[in-house]
Amino acid sequence: MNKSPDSFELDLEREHLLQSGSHPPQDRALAADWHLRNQLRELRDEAGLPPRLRRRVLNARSRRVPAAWLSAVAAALLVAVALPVLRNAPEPTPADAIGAAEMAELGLALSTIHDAGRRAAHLTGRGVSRGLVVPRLGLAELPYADWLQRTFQPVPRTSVLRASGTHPDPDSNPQEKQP
Amino acid sequence: MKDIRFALAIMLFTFVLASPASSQEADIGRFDLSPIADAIGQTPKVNLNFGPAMMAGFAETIAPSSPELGDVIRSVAGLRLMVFEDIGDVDFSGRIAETAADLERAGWTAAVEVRENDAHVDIYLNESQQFVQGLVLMVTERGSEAVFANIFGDLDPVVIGKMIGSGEALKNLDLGALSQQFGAISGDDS
Repeated sequence: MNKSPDSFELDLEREHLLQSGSHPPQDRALAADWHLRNQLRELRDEAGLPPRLRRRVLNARSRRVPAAWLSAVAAALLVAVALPVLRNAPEPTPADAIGAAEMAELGLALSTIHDAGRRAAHLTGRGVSRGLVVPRLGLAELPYADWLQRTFQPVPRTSVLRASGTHPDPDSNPQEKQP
Repeated sequence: MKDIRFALAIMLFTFVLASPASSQEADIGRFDLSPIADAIGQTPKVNLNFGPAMMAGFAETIAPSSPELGDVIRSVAGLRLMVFEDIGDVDFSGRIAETAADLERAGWTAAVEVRENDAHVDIYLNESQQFVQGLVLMVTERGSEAVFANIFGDLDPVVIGKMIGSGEALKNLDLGALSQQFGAISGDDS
């Protein structure tokens, strides 16, 4: 069905009136149409979120999950799964790891530490014995002074060690030469 | 960038949590002796560095023939030894003093400190309630030799006490077993 150009322009004008007019048209049918459109427009505006909330929602939707977070979660899972497995992995047997050279090195290390320990103890003992002042008890005037002195005069430890031959000390201690 | 840093921090934290606490504790008594070697400026005549795996291997190898020595070795998580010979008149006492200060700052206890002419002895201990967790031994004689050792692990205080008191830490232990093991392994190798 073809409309005449006049009818088409009339329809266009009515439509324009409906869209832009602030007052309902005179025609009842058009007025009902105008009211319906206005109500629908108001409904659409009311359904919209407040601008601030709307912005937040849109930002949240547009934000992607950072790749770093995914990497961190993946790494944490990997560590949690792989570490116990690695920890329980069988260790190489000593026969694989220890050879003659290593045993010789251990022997050298132990004997060196042993000797250094003895040297340290020797130097320490010498320093201590020199630092100690043996008190004079004034026993010389008493009868049986020799016996009393042997019994009660403290004997420096170094002289005991030297006498037993277990700890030769080339240095002399003047206090040990007392009669 | 901020997120990546945060993620890295989480990864590190996870790794630290997942790591066994015992391995951290075993390293408490470890001390870096290399600055002393740098101060002396010579290559050590003996330079040994055994970690936990090697020490466990030694213990397992020695234990069948000498259980007592095996137990002592098993308690050692690591051992570092440097011996310098013919050190001449190199004065590295300043470096020794700095090392001693570092040890004290780190909570180590000075067990022995002897200054006698040109001979110096320093023994520092890092102790827990049950064990000696670390020992640093520094024996130097100017013009002669210098010995630096760091032993760490769960060390028997009795053995350490013998070492400090008389230098006879290994007196009752059968070091001959070690040479037997050495001979056995040499024979196997040959």
